[in-house]
Amino acid sequence: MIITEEGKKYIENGLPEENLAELAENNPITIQEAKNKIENFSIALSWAKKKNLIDIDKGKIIFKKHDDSNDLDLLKKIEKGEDVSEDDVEKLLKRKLVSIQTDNLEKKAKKYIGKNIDFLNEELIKTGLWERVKLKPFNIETKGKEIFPGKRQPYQDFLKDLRDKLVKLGFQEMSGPNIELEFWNFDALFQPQNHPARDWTDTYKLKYPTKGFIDKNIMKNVKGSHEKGWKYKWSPEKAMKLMPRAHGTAISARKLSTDAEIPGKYFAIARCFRPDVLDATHLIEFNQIEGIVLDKNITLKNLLGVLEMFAKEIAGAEEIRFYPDYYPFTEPSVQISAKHPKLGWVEFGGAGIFREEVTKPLGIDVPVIAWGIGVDRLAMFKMGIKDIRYLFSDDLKWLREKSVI
Amino acid sequence: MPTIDISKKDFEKKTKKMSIQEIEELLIFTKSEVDGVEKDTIKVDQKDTNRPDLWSIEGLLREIKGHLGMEKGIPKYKIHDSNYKVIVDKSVKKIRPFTVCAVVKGLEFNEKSLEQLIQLQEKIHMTYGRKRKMAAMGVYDFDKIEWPIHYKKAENIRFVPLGMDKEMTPKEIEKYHPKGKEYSHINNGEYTVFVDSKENVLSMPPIINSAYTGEVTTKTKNVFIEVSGFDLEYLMIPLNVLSTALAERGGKLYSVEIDYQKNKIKTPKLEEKSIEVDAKKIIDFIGLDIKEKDVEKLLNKMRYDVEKKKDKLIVKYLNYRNDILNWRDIAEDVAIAYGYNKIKPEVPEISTIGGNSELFEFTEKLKEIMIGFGFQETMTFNLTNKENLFRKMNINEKRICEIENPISINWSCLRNWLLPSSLEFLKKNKHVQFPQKVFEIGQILEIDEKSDTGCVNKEKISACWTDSRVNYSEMLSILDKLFSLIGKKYKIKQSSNQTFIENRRAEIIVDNKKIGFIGEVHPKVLNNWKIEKPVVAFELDVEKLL
Repeated sequence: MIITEEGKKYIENGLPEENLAELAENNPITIQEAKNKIENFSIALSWAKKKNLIDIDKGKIIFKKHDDSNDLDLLKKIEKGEDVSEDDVEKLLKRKLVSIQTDNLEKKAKKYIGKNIDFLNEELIKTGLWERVKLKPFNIETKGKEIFPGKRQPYQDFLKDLRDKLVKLGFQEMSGPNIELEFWNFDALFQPQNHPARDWTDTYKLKYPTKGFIDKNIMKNVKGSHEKGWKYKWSPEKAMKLMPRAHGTAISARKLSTDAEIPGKYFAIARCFRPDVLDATHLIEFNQIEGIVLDKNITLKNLLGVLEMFAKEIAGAEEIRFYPDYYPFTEPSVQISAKHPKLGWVEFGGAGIFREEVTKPLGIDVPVIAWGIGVDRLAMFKMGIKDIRYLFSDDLKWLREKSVI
Repeated sequence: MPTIDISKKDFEKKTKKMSIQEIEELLIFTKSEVDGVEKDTIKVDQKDTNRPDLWSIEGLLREIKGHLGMEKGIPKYKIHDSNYKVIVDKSVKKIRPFTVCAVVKGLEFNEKSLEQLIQLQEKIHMTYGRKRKMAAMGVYDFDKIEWPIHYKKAENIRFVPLGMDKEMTPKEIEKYHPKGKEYSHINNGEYTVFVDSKENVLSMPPIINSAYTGEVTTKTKNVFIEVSGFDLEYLMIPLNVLSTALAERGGKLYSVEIDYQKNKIKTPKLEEKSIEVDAKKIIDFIGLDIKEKDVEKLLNKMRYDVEKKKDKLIVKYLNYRNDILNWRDIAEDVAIAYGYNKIKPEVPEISTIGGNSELFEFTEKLKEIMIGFGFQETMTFNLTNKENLFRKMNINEKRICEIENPISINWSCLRNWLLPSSLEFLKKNKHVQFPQKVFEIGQILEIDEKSDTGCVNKEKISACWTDSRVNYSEMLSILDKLFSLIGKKYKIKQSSNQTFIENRRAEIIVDNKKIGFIGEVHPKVLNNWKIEKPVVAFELDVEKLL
């Protein structure tokens, strides 16, 4: 027979019902007050009432008598190993102040003595009888059933690493809607409305909803920029059409028109949509890393510096080369190629300094360097996959087994 | 981006013998790169969609000669005066009102140069010409033409179009000729023609040339060129590009008078244009350590003439270019001539505080909790279809974002909830070891007329648990612990969603707003997806948990 944790506590602190009675002995106290002072208040209250030690009147506890039972003495006797009557034991058992479990434990544990057993168990450990059994040797090569932990999706994990690097470099995240106005996808980026790149087959259009709206001032500025630069009649209706975002630069344009700080560095991981058939080398949706830096003294040399840092930090490039390029929204424009230790020369992304025809209508008077980097190929390499569909894998077995390194 | 084929021999004839690598290096000055080499043919990607003057070997070489030191500054072309005349009838006004023309004589075409001519024409049609709508050009055998030429509305006209061997009317061309089928929509049923004074049809722009005058071969020595469209200024560029390209081949340029009745103009008009720039500003903008004199030299290489005017530079160029809008365009050319790779990259010293969005940081916490519960993260596409979003989920259709021009019906909508993506995932993994616990944090789109884009992105989290036996209470334990770990209170309320089993589904309420649901997926839905084990799932609006 052993004394339970509760029993041990009472031996040390006294019975809670007696403690409660004592508390109220000189002056009646409120239940709330008692609650704060007495541990195990609900137990104390129910036993004090049962033993008729107190009365309750209008939320106050009134002392009647001290505990005259021998409960505490019995516990102390058992602790010392002295004999007590069965009736007394029964009384304490009921109140769960003692337990005779140990006897059962011992009985159970004794069965194992002198035997070879497979598993160590609670009975043997608690009773100390483990010294008198032999544990069979295990085949240390045998594994249990295969188990799978919860895990990050590998492509998400890759993107998270990129974010961490960008954040370390002082870039603040920006975001934008997946369904975008043609205005932000094209017009604000100085792409004329009759430009072939805006053509039907290169981007998705929306059937529903079809039309959004644009801030009047910005619209007026952009219209002016187009009509002066490209010499055609700019149509607000076309600009208000909706489409799934085709490139991340739309987010940069929005940022410039709202709350971009000078100096400022921003990045976005942009889900982009272009009509493509899903196969081993094409996705129907892809992610682009987009970034801008605004500063009054920023130069082309700085843009190249940022791109070089990225290629080395993000792609692990050993060598890089810059090529003149063309985008309607940047001047100068740069294409960056990076020599990857395994992939060889990879076209890494496009960049440039936003044209004044882009920044001025959006209310920005300093140069803004900008870049968009397609990260799929790097992700594929990092993840060790040849089929691009595995970036968005629907193969649970592969996801579970894919190493996290 | 136009891709053009050039001949290596042709290239070397005008310059010197060199390796592909050397050619590649030179092409960088023209924003071009080698995309492939097959025997003598070099495939060149020309990246500038705004520089039609670079879409032929003649144009590329004009620039490259500047870098090889063979020529410098503005190229010189002489235009000879002539009596050639094109009379524009006012009947064309509402159809295709403008044309500009030129005559080039003394050409010696070979297969290569003829290919270049056709290729340049095609590239201009596609890009600058906006698929022939804004500008379409024709080249004709000058020696078969009886002057003057008339440009007029096509009435009672029949002629043999290129590629056919019998006479056709415009309507027949529209119906039967491949080019007619491709381009007739530009005209809305009315056509214009160029005819000479013997009533021989030269062409029906922008659709097709005649077989008689409109065919140019290696035997052709002299050509007549026209460009037609809707904006006189817009047509000048392609005319100048094409005629100077032919002049680079040794052709002699002759002007043509275009008689618009009310006024007369002579084309081609090759004119010097100019822009005033600040050399110091350009040097600083690029981040170079060079002198103003060096800027002049670099610009000469890029085929500009430069004149000093006090502390500014007057930079002059010929009007086969129309891409120069301000000093930045000149700055880019200085940088290209200097060489991007000679500029020493320098990371700007701008100190800013970096950070992810609050939303992203929060999703990371959710992710950590779900992974702790043993759930595998998944990532699926936003694009899907109505069948998956509604019918298979046993619910009525709602208005969602739909694609007008989908590649496939499978990818014709943008999802408005995540659970269908998760069930599709489970369907594909029926034979993978159970239990399966998966979750996704991803975006969906909801129609919202108050938003400037007519809809809004929302971040959702969905979780599914499937095994031979799973039940609502077990999933609720997870949900409950999720809420307690993010320190958020929630209530659950009976719901009437047909996707789930009755009495085993609930809405999740936070601050008196529905922010998601939990439930055991209805066997009907499981059947629709051909899923064979019970699934219990929840989906929550992440932003509402923040």
